Amino acid sequence: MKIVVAVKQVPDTNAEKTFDPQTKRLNRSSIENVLNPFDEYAIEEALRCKESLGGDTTVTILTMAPQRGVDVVRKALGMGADNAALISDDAIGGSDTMSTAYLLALGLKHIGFDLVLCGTQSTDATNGIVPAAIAEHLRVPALTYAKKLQINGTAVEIQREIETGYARVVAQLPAVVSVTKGINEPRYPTLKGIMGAKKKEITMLTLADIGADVARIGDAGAKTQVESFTPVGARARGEVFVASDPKEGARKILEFLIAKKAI
Amino acid sequence: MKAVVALVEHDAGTVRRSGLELATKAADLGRDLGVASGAVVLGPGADAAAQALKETPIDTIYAGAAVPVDRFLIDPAVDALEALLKERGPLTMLVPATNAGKDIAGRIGVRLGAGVITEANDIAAQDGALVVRSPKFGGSIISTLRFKNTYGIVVCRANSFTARAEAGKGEVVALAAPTAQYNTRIEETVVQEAGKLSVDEAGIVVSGGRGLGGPEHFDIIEALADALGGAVGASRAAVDAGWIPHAHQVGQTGKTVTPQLYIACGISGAIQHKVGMRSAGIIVAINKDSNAPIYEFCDLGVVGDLFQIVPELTRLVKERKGAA
Repeated sequence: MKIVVAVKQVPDTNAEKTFDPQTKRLNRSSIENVLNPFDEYAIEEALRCKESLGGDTTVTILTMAPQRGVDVVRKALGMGADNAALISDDAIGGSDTMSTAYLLALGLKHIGFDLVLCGTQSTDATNGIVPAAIAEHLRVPALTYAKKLQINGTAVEIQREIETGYARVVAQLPAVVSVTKGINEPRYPTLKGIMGAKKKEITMLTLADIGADVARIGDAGAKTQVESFTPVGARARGEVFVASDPKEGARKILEFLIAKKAI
Repeated sequence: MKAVVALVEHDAGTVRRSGLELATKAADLGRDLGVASGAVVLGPGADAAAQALKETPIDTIYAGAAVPVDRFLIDPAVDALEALLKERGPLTMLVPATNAGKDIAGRIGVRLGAGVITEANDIAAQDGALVVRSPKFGGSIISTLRFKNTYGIVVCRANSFTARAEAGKGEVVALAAPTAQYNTRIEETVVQEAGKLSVDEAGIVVSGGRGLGGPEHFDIIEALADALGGAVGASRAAVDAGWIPHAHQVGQTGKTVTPQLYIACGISGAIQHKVGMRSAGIIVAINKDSNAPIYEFCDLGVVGDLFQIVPELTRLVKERKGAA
């Protein structure tokens, strides 16, 4: 079984973000990037599938990033993935979410797969639509928001997180599955894993390699146009009341809620 | 663009509040742009939901009661919507930022070559087109976007728009069920928390964190949420400790919520939590640690013993509601 995990590098949540006023793109080069926290669950789940399925099961990491995105890929390889592929090309800059899904789908077709695992969303854009869009490009089932995953022969079964509980969903492979936090506890790369990762193969893929139509990516291919980015000011610090008596504290909150017409 | 259409979610015929918000917004945008407005309801109960939508300002209500969204995941909904959008389009579709809504946006976006804007909390008609605002990077940046081509999909956060009742002028049109065979089967749906509001849809959220000390203390959070008519949220610490399911988690690796009122109990307010709730209307914090970061960005902070303050607040809220 060939498992491919699609991952993304994202700016550290704590980092201050700046935007290029001309291109209206995030200045990604000046901030520290990390592996998207959601993707760690997808990598862990892939490794667990490999461990339980055994045989010739492999785990490949796929990402789309500038060349230095290799750092994030190394972490995934350090966790135990077998190899990786990086789609990298200057023309990709400015691509929107839908173009991203298009390119990842082409990369997946190029690599080949039985099961694609993704995190539910990235912490920077928080779109949460890439897994379904990839599946649509590939014309395979999308089993999203999995909090449990099981491979039964040629079928995949998940527990899909829904607002009131979960739904048990079954489809035939090949398929795309996105996993939620809580499906597992991601392992840390071990020292041995990190050392071993240096020898693992990372394939560089160009747009030509995957057969991408450049008219569908970058600024030109984006279906949306950014007019502006406006930083949100910090919320003002409100009143802090030290309640020596709990009753007084509760009363204070109630009066505040009434004054604000919140209840 | 010929129309603005809202995808409205319902629970067995009862329209969700977010559905009423989206239908009202679609009707208002249609009016402002001088184009038709519509609402789509799918699956068992769609006919009852369609009747309820007659009490909104929407022009046309598309009811697909026979579309088997209860038996197959997403695919039937996508096929039914694709057929409708091609017939009535080009148009802009508003979908809720639920799991199903995001999946539908991704799939339809690819099929129609549409632009997709997510996490929207403001949409306005300007110069005959839509201008959409959406918070990004944990709410630290507001991006303002437009669609370049004719089909557009906007994934909308709950609590962004105000629902408005209006005497029914809506015409109900039946949608045919797709004839394709589907293989992504929903084998069963397990309801663990029947009748509870979801944390990302509720207008009021009461959240508990590490300060609760254990799962048994979530009952005081739930009691306050019930008294206020809100939902129960949680910090990552509480979820990671196994005190409450992940579906309740607010923050970076949980839900992003924008309720009118957010009450954080025993939550320190680390950046990973803040990014999930900083856009709330009013933030109230109760914590015993006067140095907790949450006091830097809440509207009212009360330093004290949450085990005594929360139940007392619940009592006061009930007393007030009883008197009102």
